[in-house]
Amino acid sequence: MSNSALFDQIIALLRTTSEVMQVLTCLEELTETFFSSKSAGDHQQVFRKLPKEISAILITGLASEPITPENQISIKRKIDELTDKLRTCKNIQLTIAFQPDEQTITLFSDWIKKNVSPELLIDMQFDKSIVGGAQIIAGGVFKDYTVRKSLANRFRIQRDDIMGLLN
Amino acid sequence: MKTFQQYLTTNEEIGFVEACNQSIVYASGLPNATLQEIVMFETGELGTILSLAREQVEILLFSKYSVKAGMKVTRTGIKQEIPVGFELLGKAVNPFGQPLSASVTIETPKISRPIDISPSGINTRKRIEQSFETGVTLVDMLIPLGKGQRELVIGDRKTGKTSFLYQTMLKQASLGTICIYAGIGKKKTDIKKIEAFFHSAGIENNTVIIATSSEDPAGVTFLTPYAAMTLAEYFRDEGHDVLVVMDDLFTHAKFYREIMLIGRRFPGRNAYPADIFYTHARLLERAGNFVLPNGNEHAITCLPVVESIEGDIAGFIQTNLMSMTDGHIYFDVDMFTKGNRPAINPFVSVSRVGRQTQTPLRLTLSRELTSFLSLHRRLESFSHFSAEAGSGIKRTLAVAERIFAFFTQRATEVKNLDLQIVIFCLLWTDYWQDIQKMEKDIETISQTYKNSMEAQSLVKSLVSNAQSLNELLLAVRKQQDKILSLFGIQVVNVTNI
Repeated sequence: MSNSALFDQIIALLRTTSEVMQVLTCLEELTETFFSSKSAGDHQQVFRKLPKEISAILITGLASEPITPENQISIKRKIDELTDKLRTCKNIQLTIAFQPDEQTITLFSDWIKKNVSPELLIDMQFDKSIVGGAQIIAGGVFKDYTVRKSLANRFRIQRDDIMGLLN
Repeated sequence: MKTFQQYLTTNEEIGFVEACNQSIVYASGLPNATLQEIVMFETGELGTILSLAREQVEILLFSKYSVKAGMKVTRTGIKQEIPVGFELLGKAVNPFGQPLSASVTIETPKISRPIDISPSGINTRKRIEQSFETGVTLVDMLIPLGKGQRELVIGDRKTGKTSFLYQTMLKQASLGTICIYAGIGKKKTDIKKIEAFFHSAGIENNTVIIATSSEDPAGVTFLTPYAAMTLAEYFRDEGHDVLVVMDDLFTHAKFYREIMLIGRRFPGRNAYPADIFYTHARLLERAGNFVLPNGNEHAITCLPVVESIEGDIAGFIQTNLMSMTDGHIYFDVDMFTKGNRPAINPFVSVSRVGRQTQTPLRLTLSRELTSFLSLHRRLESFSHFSAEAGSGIKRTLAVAERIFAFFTQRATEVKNLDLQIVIFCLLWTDYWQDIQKMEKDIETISQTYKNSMEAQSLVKSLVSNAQSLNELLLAVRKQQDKILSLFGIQVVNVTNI
């Protein structure tokens, strides 16, 4: 499997920046096994922590055959290239008012991958003070579509009326 | 200033701190940030954009407290500015116009000006033609300055540089010039001393102190002289002559070097960054004699200070500054230890434009005096053979000794130049033979001059009516008895004229 095909397959399955971090950690551990006598022949074990689909792709792409001194250099090069590509993946930071479950994350991720870019990741944040809506940060641009902001704006415009009603 | 959230909502741009190295911060994001723009961190700390890269911006932090990786940062859309106005007169502020002391409140001026701007062009400048008095006889007579001149004050530490600056500011403030003292990375006690001096001399209403202490962040310290110059430009545009004292640019260069080395700039000579000359030149180029749009002429005179190490004036920063100023006044450590006050070495000091501002009288006097002191310098070696030396040499040595005594001045004392010229004429005509009597008489004359309007008008008429030194010498000789009796000096017979 070529390196770009491997990356395309993995990035299609990765949804969030924390998942990318998990993969990067596993790749680092795989590199470490090259220099460890204890884990010789047990390279596939490092991918156990990852979801099955991702683990299977990485095993097929990197560790399907035993790692020997002969193929070690080419595998290391593959790992480095994959690591670099994953590190430079762009992400969108989403702050929402509720704790997202797996289904929500998948929903957001699928929509973004389909409508924006298949290589884009999401970084979900939870902040109940925004009340509703979302804050979006992408490429250094900050957009505030929260209920908190709408309420604050409304209060600023209609302050006197609101205070009058309260009094 | 607004809050972080307000700036974020307005500009809709955010960055995240990726790395922090002392006062330099690297942040991702902020796609439309511009150079020298002020940025705010989520904790309220401020910084300025130092350089831009494709993925990151380099920020110079203005805070004592470091920021952490992952912290949010946003643009403010404003450049480095200082509030400027007459409200700052008599105050001691930092480069952002905030009071140095927490107990002092300042009415913040409504106008702000950018701290770092390009110097005005040649079309706004005019030849320096007005004389600039320092109140220090030796400088006013031998190394004359002009309004709008940039004169470097150079010397080892503890050689009397600050005293000279005090005297100059005292003299100029009394003449109505606005004096701005920029203390760069000074000790807090030193800043307090300057404040106290301005207060005790009664010139605080004509002075502003812009200072940073050695505890302040390097980024803020670096801005000090630029902020001082911005304030000077404001007062100039308001129709005032301004004196800016920058104490000192050697410290400024060291702070700039620190910032640039942390910012991974390639080190040049003495590890200073390659643009250190440009950094100082664009600052000093903002001083000069200017023609305002209304046709009036106003000057920003600048006295940058630089410290020399062990009398070495050929250092990198020292020679850089010498080449970008219009002369230098050198404080000689050897003269200081010999007891000369001020310890200015007239043979090493230079004034490139000051002479063009002098009257013919002052010009001839200065030439005569310089020529005589040069002669004395050559003959000084003969002083070891006093018994064998001829009467001419002995007389030269004796007169020179009296001249150096005449130049001696207390640290906070300023002298009137016209009076000093008349006293010099008395000295030059050998009225005094005994130095102690001369010093006593000069003291009496100075005191009388301060209190007597008649004495002041006599001195003024004598100096203004004379076109050359010879004319003045003749006039003084003719009216010697009258002058001396007016000043309350007992007349003695002069034998050798």
